[in-house]
Order: sequence, then C-alpha cells, then structure tokens
Amino acid sequence: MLKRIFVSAATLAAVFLAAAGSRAETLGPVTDALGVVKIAKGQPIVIGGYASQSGGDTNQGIDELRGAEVAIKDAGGKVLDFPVKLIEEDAQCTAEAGQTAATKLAGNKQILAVLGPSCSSGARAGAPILWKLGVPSVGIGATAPALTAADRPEGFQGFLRVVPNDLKSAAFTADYVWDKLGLKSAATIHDGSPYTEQLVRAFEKDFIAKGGTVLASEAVSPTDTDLRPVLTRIATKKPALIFTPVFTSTIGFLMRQKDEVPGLSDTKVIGGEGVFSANVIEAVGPKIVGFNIVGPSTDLFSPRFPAFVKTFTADYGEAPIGGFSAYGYDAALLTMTAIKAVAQTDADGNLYVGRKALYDAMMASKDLPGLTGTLSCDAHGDCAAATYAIWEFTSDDTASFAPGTNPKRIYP
Amino acid sequence: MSFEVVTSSFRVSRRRGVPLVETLRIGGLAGLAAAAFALIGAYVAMDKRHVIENSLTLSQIAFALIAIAAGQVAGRAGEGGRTRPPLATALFHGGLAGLAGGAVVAALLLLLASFNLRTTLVAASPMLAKALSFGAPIASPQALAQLAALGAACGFVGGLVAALPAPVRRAVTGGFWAVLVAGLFRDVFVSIFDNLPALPGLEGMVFGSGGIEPGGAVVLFALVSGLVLAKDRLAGARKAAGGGAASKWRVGLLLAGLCVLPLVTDDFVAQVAMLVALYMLMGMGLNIELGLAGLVDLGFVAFFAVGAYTVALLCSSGPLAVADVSFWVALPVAVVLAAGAGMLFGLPVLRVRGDYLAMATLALGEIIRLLVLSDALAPYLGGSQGIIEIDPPSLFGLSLKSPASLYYLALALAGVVAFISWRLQHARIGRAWLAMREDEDVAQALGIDPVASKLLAYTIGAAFAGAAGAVFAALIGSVYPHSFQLLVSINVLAILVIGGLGSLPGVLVGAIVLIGLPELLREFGEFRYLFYGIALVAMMHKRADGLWPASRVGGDADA
Amino acid sequence: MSEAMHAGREPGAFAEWRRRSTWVDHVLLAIRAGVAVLLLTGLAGGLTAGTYSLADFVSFAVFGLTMGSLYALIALGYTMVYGILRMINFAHGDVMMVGSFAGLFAAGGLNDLGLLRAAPLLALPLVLAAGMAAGAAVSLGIERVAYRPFLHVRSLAPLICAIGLSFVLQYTARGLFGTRNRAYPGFGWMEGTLDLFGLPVPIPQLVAFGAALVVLAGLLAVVRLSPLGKAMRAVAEDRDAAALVGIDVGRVIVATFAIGGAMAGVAGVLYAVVFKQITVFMGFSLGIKGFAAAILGGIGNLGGALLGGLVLGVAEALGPALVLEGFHIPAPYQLKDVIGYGMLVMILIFRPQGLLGERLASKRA
Repeated sequence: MLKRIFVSAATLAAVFLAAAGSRAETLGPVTDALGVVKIAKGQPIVIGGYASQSGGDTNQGIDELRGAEVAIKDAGGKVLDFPVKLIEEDAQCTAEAGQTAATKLAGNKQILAVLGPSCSSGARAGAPILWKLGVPSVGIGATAPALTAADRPEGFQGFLRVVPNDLKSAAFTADYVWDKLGLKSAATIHDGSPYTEQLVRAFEKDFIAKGGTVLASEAVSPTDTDLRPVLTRIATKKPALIFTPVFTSTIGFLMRQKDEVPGLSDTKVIGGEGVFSANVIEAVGPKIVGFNIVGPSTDLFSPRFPAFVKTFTADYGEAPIGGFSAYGYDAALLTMTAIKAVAQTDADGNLYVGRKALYDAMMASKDLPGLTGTLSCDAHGDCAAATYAIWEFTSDDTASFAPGTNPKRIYP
Repeated sequence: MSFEVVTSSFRVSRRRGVPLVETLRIGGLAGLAAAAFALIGAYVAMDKRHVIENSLTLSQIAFALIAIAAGQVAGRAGEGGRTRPPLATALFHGGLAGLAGGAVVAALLLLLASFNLRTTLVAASPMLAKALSFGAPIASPQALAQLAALGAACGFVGGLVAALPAPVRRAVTGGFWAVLVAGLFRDVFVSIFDNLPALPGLEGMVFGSGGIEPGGAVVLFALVSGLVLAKDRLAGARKAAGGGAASKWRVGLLLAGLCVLPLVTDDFVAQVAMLVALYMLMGMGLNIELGLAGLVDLGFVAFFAVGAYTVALLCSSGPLAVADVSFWVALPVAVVLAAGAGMLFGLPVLRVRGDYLAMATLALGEIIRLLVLSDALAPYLGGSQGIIEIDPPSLFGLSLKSPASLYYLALALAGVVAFISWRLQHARIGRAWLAMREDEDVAQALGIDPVASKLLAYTIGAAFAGAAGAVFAALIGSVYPHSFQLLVSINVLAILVIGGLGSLPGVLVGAIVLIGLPELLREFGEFRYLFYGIALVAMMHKRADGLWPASRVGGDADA
Repeated sequence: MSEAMHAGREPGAFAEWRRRSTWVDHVLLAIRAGVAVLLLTGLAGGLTAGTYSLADFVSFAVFGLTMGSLYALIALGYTMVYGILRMINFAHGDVMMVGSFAGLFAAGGLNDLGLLRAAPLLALPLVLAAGMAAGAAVSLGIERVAYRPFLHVRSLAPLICAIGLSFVLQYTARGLFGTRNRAYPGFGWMEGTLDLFGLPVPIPQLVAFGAALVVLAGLLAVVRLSPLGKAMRAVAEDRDAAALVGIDVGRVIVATFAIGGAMAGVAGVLYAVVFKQITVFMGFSLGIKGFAAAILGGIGNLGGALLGGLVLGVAEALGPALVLEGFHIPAPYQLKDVIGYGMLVMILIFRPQGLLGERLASKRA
C-alpha cells in the first residue's frame, strides 16, 4: 500500500510541475493568458452541455439542453460561419454525476464553454474542474446563491448563470405577498430538493423580516401522491397563503387535492418558475384556473416565448415540460454571442478563440436581449434578467398555453 | 431473489416452425426492434454521432447491426441447428430476414409520413422520417425500396457471417467490434495518444473530431482481425499443454492495467476508474454478506452513507463540522462507525430470512436516507443542502485532489480489502459462511453459531462499504442525501451477480462492466439506462452464473 | 416480546428464559422495548397535541384504505409469481405503469367519443380492460425474457434480468410517450364528492376501492375454485410433482404472470382514477411499496397481500399524524415513508414470516 501511495505522490508531483508553467499561449493571431483554441476551417465550434438526463430530474435536464439546441438552431446552427456543435453529457442531479460529466467534458480540448448543469450540487463539484482548464460554465438550473456570492472560492470564478439565484425570486415573492396582497401569514412546502428547500427558506426569511408570520413550513417527497394529510395539517394553522416552488407532479397532486381538504378552499397557492409550462396545465387539470406562479417577466419574454415553444414542439414532439428550457436557450445565446465577439480568423480561414478573452467577454455581457429578459452579468457571474412577475393561469386547455394570455401577467 | 431457488428438471422449449416461416419471424422481430429504436427517439439523437468520421453514424450502425444479427440468426436457423450452414442456404435465409426487417422499417416510414402520430408517440417526428429516407425524397417509393434493399444487404452479410468457418467469423467480428469500440470511445483513446510519447503524431491519422477516420478504421479492422486469427492458431497449438495458467495471467494483466490506467489517459478515465474502485470496495463488502453468507442486502447503501457522512462531519471546514481533522484520522472512524451500523442493522434482522431479509434491509436503507434528508435532522446533517467543503486528504504535504491520486488511494484500499476478503474466505469463518449459505439448519447442527457468523458478515461487509463512502466524500468534496439512493444498492447487487457470486475477480470484472461502461456512455444521457438495462438482460442470458464465476469446475473458490 | 411479558409474571419461567436466551435476545428485547416506548411517546404526544379532529383521522383512514387497495393489487402480482417461482419480479411496478398508460390512451379515445363523460360506469370497465390487457402482455414478455430461460438453473439471474427490464420499460416508455406528466380525462359524475355520514369522501376513491375489492374477489374465486387455480396451487407446492401428475407447468407459469400483470394493470388504471396524473417513472416507487405490502402480509399468500396492502396504506396515511406529530419535529410528512418502512421492519422482527405467512415460508424462503 505504501508503495502505491509513493507512486501516486510521485505522479502528482509531476502533474503539479507541469501545471506550474505559464499557460499563456499564442496561436495564429491570438495570444491569451489561459490558452487558445484553434478551430480549423470546416470543423465545428464545440460547446459542452451537462444536465440531468436520467434519474428523477429527467424532465428538467432534457428540457434545458433542448432549449440550448433551439438557440443554436435559431442562430442558423452557425457562429461566424462555423457550425456549432453541442456535446451533451448526463449530469443527473447529484454531485458525483456532475463531477464525472464535467471531467468528461474537460477532456475535450476543443470545448470553449459549457452550459449547465441543472443542479447546484453538480455545479459545486463540476464548475471548478472546468475552470481549472480555463473553461467557463453557464449555469442553467443551478440556483444556490453561494455559487455567485461575492466571496465565492477561486474554483467558482469561471461559473456564470442565466438563471436568477434563489434570493432574488424569494424576495420578489415576499414583496408581492406582503405589499400587494397584504397577506400577513403564509405556509411553505418544499420537496426535499436543494433548490426548493433553499427557495422556501429564503422566502420565509424575507417574509418574516417584513413582519409576516410563517405558520407552517412543511416538506413532502417528490414521490408522494397523497398530499391530503399534509394539507390538512397546514389547514389547521389557517395560513392566508401557501408558497410552494415544487415541480409539476407535486403541484398537480397539490392543486387537485387542495379543495378536498376543509378549510383550504380560500387559501391562495403560489408556485415557482419550475412549473412555468404547458405541462402543468395538463397535470393540474380544471383546478389550474386562478393558480399563480412566480416567473420571469420582461418585455422580451412574452412576445418571444411562444415562438420558442412552437419551435421546441416541432422538434421534440412535446412542449417544454418545466420552466427551465428558456434558461437553456439563454445560456447558449450568451455563450455564442461572446464567441462571436472574441473569435478571430487567420488568412487560411481558421478560427481562433482565446480562453481568457472568451471568459472576459462572457462576464462582460451587457444588455443582451435573451429569451427570459435582458441579460447583464455582474462581477460575480450573475447574468440573469432577474425581473419577475406573478402569472395567473386562465384556462385549463393545454393547447392554450401562451404567456400573456394563459398564463396572464397580473403583477406588476 | 431467494438464494435457495427451487430448481427442477422442468424445462420449457419452443417448438421450431418451418425454416421459411422462422426466417420471416426473425426478420419481422428485427424490424420491430429497429422501429422501436427509431420511435423512442434514439435514431434521431444518435444520428448526430459519427463513429466513422463523416460517413457512418451510430444510428446507421445500430440499424445495420440489428439487420446483420437477424441475418446471422436466420442463416443459422434456416438449417435448423447450431452447425455451420451451407453458404447458399445461409445467404438466402439471411437476406430474406434482412428484407423482412427492412420492409417493417419501410412500413414505419410510410406510417410516419402519412399520419401524425406525435400526439401519442413524441419521437415520431418529421426529422425521423427525413433521417430514415437517407437523402431520397421523404417516404417516396425510392426511399422505401432503399430501406428494404439495405435491410436485405445487411441480412445477406449476416448470413455470410453465419456461414463462415468459426475462426474467420471470430476474426471478422473481433475486427468489427474493435472499430466500433474505437469510434465510440474516441475520447479515451485520443487521451492515451496524447499522453504516450511518440504517439500524438498518429492521432490525426486515426481519429477525427467525432469518431475514427475511415482509413484508420480499415487498418484497425485488418490489424485486429489478423491478431484474432493468429491467437486462434496459437491457442489451438497450446490446447494440448493445458491452460491452467491462463486465469492467473488474466488477473495479472487486469491488475497491471488498473495500475497504469490513469497515468496514460486523462482525468475522465481516472474519475471513472475511481468510481469503479469505489464500487469494487462496496462489491467486496456485499460479497461477504451475499456471496459468502447468503444474506440478501438491499440496504447496503446505508453503510456507504455512514462512511461518507462521517468523513464529511469530521473533515469539513463548513459550519456543520463537528471536528476538522485529517482524512487519515476520519477514515478509520468512518470504517468503525459503518461497521457499528452494520451490526446494528444485522441484529434485529438476523432471524429474518431470504426475501424477507431483502425487504427488511431495503426498508432500513431507505429509512437512513430519508432521515438524512429530513428537515428534522437538517441542523446536524445539512438536510437536502448536504455538507460541503470537505477537505481533501493530504499526504506528505501534498493534497490528494485529482481523481488519479484518489484513485490510487481507493485502489490501495481495495487491495487491502481484497486481501482481507481472501483470507476470510479461506479461513474457518469463510467455510462457516458457505455452509450457512447452503443450508442453515445443517450448519447449525454442525456446531456453527449462525448468529455470530451472520453478524460478523454484516459487520465486515458494512466496514468495507464505509471505507468506500469515506473515499467518496473526499473525492466529491461534498455529500448530499441524493447520492445515496436505492439504486446504489441495486447496482452493487448487480455487480456481484454479473461478476459471479462469491468470486473476488468477479467483483472486479462486474464493477468494470457495470460502472465503467455506463460512465463511458454518459453522452447518451436519456438512453443510458435503457442500454444499461438491455446489457443486464443480455449478460445474464449469455452467462447466467456471472462473467467470472467463483468455481468453474468445482475447484477452488477463486484464482 | 410476548414471550418476555409472559415470563415476567412467573419467576420460574423468567429464570428459564434467562438461562436459555443469549445476548442477542437481550439486545433484541431492548430494541423492541425501545421502539415500543418511542411509539407510545409519539402516540401520546400526537393524541394530546390535538392538531387534528376525529373527522380528519377518519378521512385519513378512508384514504389509506384506498391507497392500500392499490398496494394490494400490486402486491398480488409479486406474491403470485413468488408463490410459484420463489422469485421476486422487480419489473412488476413498471408493468403497472404500462397498464396505466394503456388506460390513458383508452380513456382518451373514449373521451373523444364523449362516452367517458356521459356514461362513466360503462367506460371504466373498458379502460380497465385496456390496462389489464397491456399489463398482462408486458408481464408475459417479462416471463419470456427474464424467467423462462432460467427455470432450470439456480441463480439470481432472473432477478437481475427483471431489474434490467425495469430500466428498459421505463426508458422505452419515456422515449415513446415523452417525459411529461399525463393526466386522465374526467370521468363525468365520478369526479364529485359524496357525503358519507357527514364526511365528504371523493367518489374516485370509493370507486377505486370498490373496483379493487371486486377484482380481488374475482381473483380469489379463480384461485380457489377453478381448475387453473388448483393447478397453480399444485405447482406452488411442488413443481416437479405437479408436472408428474400431468399439469402443464409452463402454462400455469404463463397464466400466473398474465394474471399478475392484469392485476397491476388494474392498479395502474385505478391509481390514475384517484390521482389523475401519471408519469413513466411512477412504477418504481409504487412497485417497491407493493413489494413491501406483499412481504408484510407474508409473501406467497394471496390473503396476505390484501391484508399487507391495506395495513401499509393505513399506516402511511395515519402514521405521520398519529406518531410523528407527537415528537414536534419540523415537516413530519417528509418522514411518511419512514413510518411505513419502520412498521415493516418491526413486523418482520416480531413475525419474521409476515402477517399471514405460514411456517412453510421460513422453510422455503
């Protein structure tokens, strides 16, 4: 055993020595501190993507990368006349799968940037691996605030995201409930996923800070089908509102069963952006009418989203299932825009991209008209439009899904 | 599930029909398989993936493989037996089966073009119709004829393969698989080329940006076919001398490969190897429980979790840490705690047998996961947010952070564990376990204390899993409850059965096949588990008692 | 525990017990006592907390019975296959999923015809038939691929094959039908609620419970009375002997799988009648619950499957409210499954052969 450890130590030392040298590189017309990627004429520009494509969070991840594919398609499949190729890996929704997928993507030296992952646990493990090689990643569903906090560790420096962090949407929801609706008490339900748990905790904090009371903070598991008992428990506390950013299945059961519990028929339910989709209409059925969710809102979102849904449906046979496909679109858009800005060609028509230059350009993205709104990155990689609205569903016809009419924006 | 499956002499055999009908049946089934492959969306998804650079995509190869396999089976079935069929019969039946399969796919194409099936079948898209028309106008007579003709041609090839003499057939298939593997796992091979001196120059000649270059494919095919032929000759000559050493050679080769692997490839392979090593550790743990003592355990992941969470709590610099000690202190603590958990698990369920035991352990495993995830224990264990910022182990001032270095750590642990397992297996207690596995009542009559020996099996198995969990926490740098699903237990069980129950090299082979392969197939995302499932079924059909069974001719337990 | 309590009254017997018992018995006794104390504390706390009214508990129980009847239907498939082959069919939960999807398409068609809304009592049997047919067909496929080739060998191969097929079924269905949640259309008047002794009970629950009982009764009649049932019992006793007396064992096995699959199909459709929405991944967790119910009742025993299902359903529905509430922990419903599984483990500790399992079970299992 000792011998093996010595061997591994020696290997490591060698690796460190090799890495210690400067990575600055000059290739063609480009000199870059982190290295240069050459794309020979006729070869594709390679972008990586990792998201949950198997396991319990399949819906979300498949949607996200499909959203990115639609963005590439909308750009004509090309940037600067070079075809764009998206290499997808399955990151499930666990730290180890995120790490493995990121390591696999890191092995491909042609990859300029990576889209994803879907979950913060995967981002925590995966983003540093990519950044070690100078590859920036653009989070799609990873919403944990720590990933873009001011004091984030060196490994996360290469991480940007187009999805707003949990704190922003929670603060907006608390404002709406307290200021606009004037409701003084609330209950929350999360489903044990880091995303929903963090979001309800942030909401509770903001709501209490405003003077509200949180009467119940409950949790269910994503496989639960019978929510009547937990709803009964909430009903005994008589909250004015239930905030629950859980996913489509759970929202379906919750809304269908809510009215069967005495004392809850007048309680308002606000869902999260995870269910901003046509699928939630099918899942909830007639009870969807009047259901409110927090979702992205800008002048761009309403007019552009229906066209996106149309292309998506034509390509994949079903409309986006969750609300995150639009972020996949924006992640790809931001990346392609930055590549376009920094790539240079030589006389033979080869393309060169400096890694540091690309990262800087991505971090400097400003006023970029995305699908979810105007994207502008701050110093720590938060690029999301992060303007929110409350949307209300108006019809239970699945085909009628169109942001603007169903659901309709009711605030602001 | 029960280990003591009631066996009987009873068999079911299907009556074989007229050869011609049989051929059409095979062809039709193959066609349906191809249609299913297309309708689940795999065809369109894999059409983007080139195996042979710019010429053959993975979908096309998959279709061709289905038709060739059908042709081969039909070619053999036409003769009604296993012996080599005459060339003409094989070609006829093979071609016919291929034609039938092609016709089914052509019918699908026609259906796709005529009706909108997408409200029910989401992958029945215009893109699929376009891809299946292979450049001809969509669903035109030309496209349909093309499909049937291609099917017939591939079936013909299959028939030809069936009619070849066995050594030649082995050579051809060997060459084919080599090309396919090289094209599929291009990234891994490219990384080897990058890391070995004097090879980078070759890379451009063999591999393109997505797959293998056509020229490289031809050379590789010829090379591997030749090698297989040569090996066959040699093996034929050596047969008389007896092949007892072969197994030892194989183990040695495998071990040597394992030791140098991360040095010549990239971090990804090291990462996969690392996961394989972790599952090997767990597999050897379960091997004691199930393979030797016959205790079916579906809650095995709980011990893995105990190990991981122990290290997390002891080595994290985050707010939940109870201490911030070195990994080398935490590792033995984790092992001891996991062993304790094993004992705690084992005690109440000792009297429960067979399938009841499987369910009881599954329930205990799930209870542990739910408790770790719960809000109630979140102040201590982090709940769904897990425990983060676990410090990596360090050795002589060097921090073991890279997958390769942690891989060596896991490999070293696996070596120790394998040694312990091997000693236990051949010690008095090992024989007691085996006796108990065969018949508990008889074992008890022979003076074996079933309680003590079962408990010992549980405790030792859990300790091994705890060690795996400890390394896992160090590797990821954070632990989340979502990493400890029931699926992990099922995977470990599958490794054991696929490798061969009670066989140590079997655990190694099983882990490589069941953990390594799906990891390498990660790019197929949504279809990954589908292929995994098919592979499980196929492997069990080919080798029901495992890839490396414990005792093949009633000899010693393992090599 | 009964042993110990009994012993406590008679000093002589207690001394005898102490002489014969080992340290393991002592630890087991301690575990049992600990669990009992924990349970009683929770129960006392839960009842005095007064969070729920009696009506709440009754409505939980009614719902638990509905869920339990679904578990029972799934458990039947496990238990029947086990009775004959001594093997667990791990893909059984996914058979239920396929049945549910077949029912969805049938219900969709009937809805287009307007039949679903107009005459739900006529439509429901048709939808059930679709679910049963699909469930039976898939189950037969599983038998063919995972069990028949291994009938004569002694290994865990069928188990691994079934696990593999479970993945294949899930991800094939995902590829074919998409990932999204699908919802059954409404069954006309069956969507309302009924006032039962002042307690509002959703009609779908009553329908599902009633239908499950009818189907179960039919199945029990088949097994007890028909020649096929007799043959099945004979094969379960001894396969070789059954073959010797001229029973076509192959056909009996096939019939067993078909019936088990049909039951799973019924469960899939009734599940959707109650809960409306289905996904391709729903089979796994429900399958595990069905397996748990089968074990709970004593595997291989049809009545046991029924009892086990109902007990599990009621325990899950009442457990968090009764027991967890008493500990005043945050979010007690997150631990709902801990109650179900915990009860299962406890019952297996007290009765290692399950509720209705016979002595025979321990000999064979």
